[in-house]
Amino acid sequence: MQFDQRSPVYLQVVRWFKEQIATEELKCGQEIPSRREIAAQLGINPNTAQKAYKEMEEQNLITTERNVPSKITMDQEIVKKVRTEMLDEAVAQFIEAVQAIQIPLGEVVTKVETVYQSTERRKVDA
Amino acid sequence: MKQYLMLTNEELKRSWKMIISIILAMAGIEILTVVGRVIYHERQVQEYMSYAKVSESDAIRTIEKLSFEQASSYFSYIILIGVALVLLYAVQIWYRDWLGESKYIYRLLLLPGNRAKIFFAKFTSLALVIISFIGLQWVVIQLSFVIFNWMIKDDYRATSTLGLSRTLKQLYTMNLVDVLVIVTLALFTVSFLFMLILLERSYRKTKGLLFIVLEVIAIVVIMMGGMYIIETLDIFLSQEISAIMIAIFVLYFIYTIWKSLRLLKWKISV
Amino acid sequence: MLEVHGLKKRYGRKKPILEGVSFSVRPDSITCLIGLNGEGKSTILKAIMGLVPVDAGTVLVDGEVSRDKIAFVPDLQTMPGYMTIGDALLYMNDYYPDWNPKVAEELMGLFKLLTTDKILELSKGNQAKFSLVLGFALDRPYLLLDEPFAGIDLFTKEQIAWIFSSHYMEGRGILMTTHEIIEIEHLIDRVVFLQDGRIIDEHDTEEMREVYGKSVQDRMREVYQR
Repeated sequence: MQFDQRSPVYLQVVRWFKEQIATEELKCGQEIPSRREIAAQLGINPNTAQKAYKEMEEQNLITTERNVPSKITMDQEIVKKVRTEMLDEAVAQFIEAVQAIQIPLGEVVTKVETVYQSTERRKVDA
Repeated sequence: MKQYLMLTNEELKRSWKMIISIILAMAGIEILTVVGRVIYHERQVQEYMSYAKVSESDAIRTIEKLSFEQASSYFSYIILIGVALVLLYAVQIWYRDWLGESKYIYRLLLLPGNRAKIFFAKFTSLALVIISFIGLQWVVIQLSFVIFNWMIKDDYRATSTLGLSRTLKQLYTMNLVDVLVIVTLALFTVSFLFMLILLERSYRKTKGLLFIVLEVIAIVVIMMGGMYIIETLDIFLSQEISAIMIAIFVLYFIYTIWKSLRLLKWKISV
Repeated sequence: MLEVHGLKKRYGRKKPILEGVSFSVRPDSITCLIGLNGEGKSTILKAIMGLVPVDAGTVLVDGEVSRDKIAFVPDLQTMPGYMTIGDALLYMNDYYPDWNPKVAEELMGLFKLLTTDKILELSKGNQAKFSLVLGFALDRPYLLLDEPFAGIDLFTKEQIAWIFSSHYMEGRGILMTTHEIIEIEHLIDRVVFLQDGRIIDEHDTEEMREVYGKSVQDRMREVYQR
């Protein structure tokens, strides 16, 4: 995993989890690696992994009970919330970029539709 | 204690090839000089016979018979070289840990426990080398005496018993006390040298050199001063004098070791 | 906690190299001592280990004056040249009561080092790995690493960096020196900047990123190029 050195590593780890939750690569109730394992897997400091897990617990993304591995939350609402949150974030970024070059909304929407569909089609072909 | 023994073993393991080859080379050279002297002497006699047209016994009378004392006269020089090599080893045993291909001094100083064991391991290595050096010299002298007697024709030999030159006699007495004195003197020299080396390794450059000079001046002053006082006061019996000398000597010996251990503990620098 | 208080050191008559350095290393964390070349980073590590005398200052390990809890990996070879790696491991086992042969064996396997290799014939990268084995296989709560990544190729660097994210880190406070930090930034908990013999700045790295939006590299630029 590549890290942006200007933003906290633990938040990048949280985000990495969120992406997988949003795409259901990690399903509700699925066990996730221990802190130690994730640290080695992502090549981060075990303290950072600990901090990321704590953050995810606070955001109710994962649940941790004593003596069992942490699990992705069973709460579908939270999963939904993660999806909208990520969409919001992506859209906000996109809008910012588009506004910066002053393209009108209509043109943007048409462009988005055609490009989105053609990439989807390419994915299917592949 | 266990670590000290292991370290001593380690030190000897690192140098035994060098030590053995030097000792053997010296023994070989010594025996060769005796053999050479016998052959040379015989040729001298033969040459004189044909040159002066005299009988063999006349020639021997003129040239003089060869004694073992003469045949082994080079030994002192070779032993002197040996002493120099031992002193060189005393220097090398420390400096190689700093200047060698790896910086073993880091490992030594970081070993768990007291650093005194480093000092005593190196000191013991030197002691063992010195003792085996002296022992081997004795063997070489006996051996070369046998070889001398076996090689030389009876008429050519000056009939002396194991006739050693005076210096050699002092060195190779079998008197236990004398042997002990020689070994102690050697160990004292080593310990003094170790202290100077550790001073240099602790303070380096100018400061190190300054302390070395001071220590050398100190020991000269102590020795000369001691002798001067004893001579001028003239109140001591000779037995008392030797007791005082021994006491001063022992105290100074202890001082060098104490100083070295302190340097190793507090002042040494990698 | 490994605490360094007021270290002062001067070599000869030159300008002092350390003018009162104080900082601490928390257990279970990685602290990085950053400074340009010749700022005295190595001298600090050596002073902590009693390998150079200091003019002033104390080092406390969990409140005690003792070096028994610290392992040190210098940036050079410390085993006699005639040894093989196997000899060196036996040596460690003989002399150190807290030597952990199991960890040594595991790391040897991970780093693909052979016991039959002669120490002096190792490549620079393998030498660094071997030195790390000697450090990590000592069961000690603090570990000092002097420039563990200096002069090492990228892939070896990655292999070595891995160890800092592994379970071998557990229960260890690490202090490492470095003058280039790019590849390992995300591994470090705390940075301490050294300049002209003084600590001029220190930060928790995550806090620095979160509060100031800065990387360690950014901060290095600010500190050393002003």
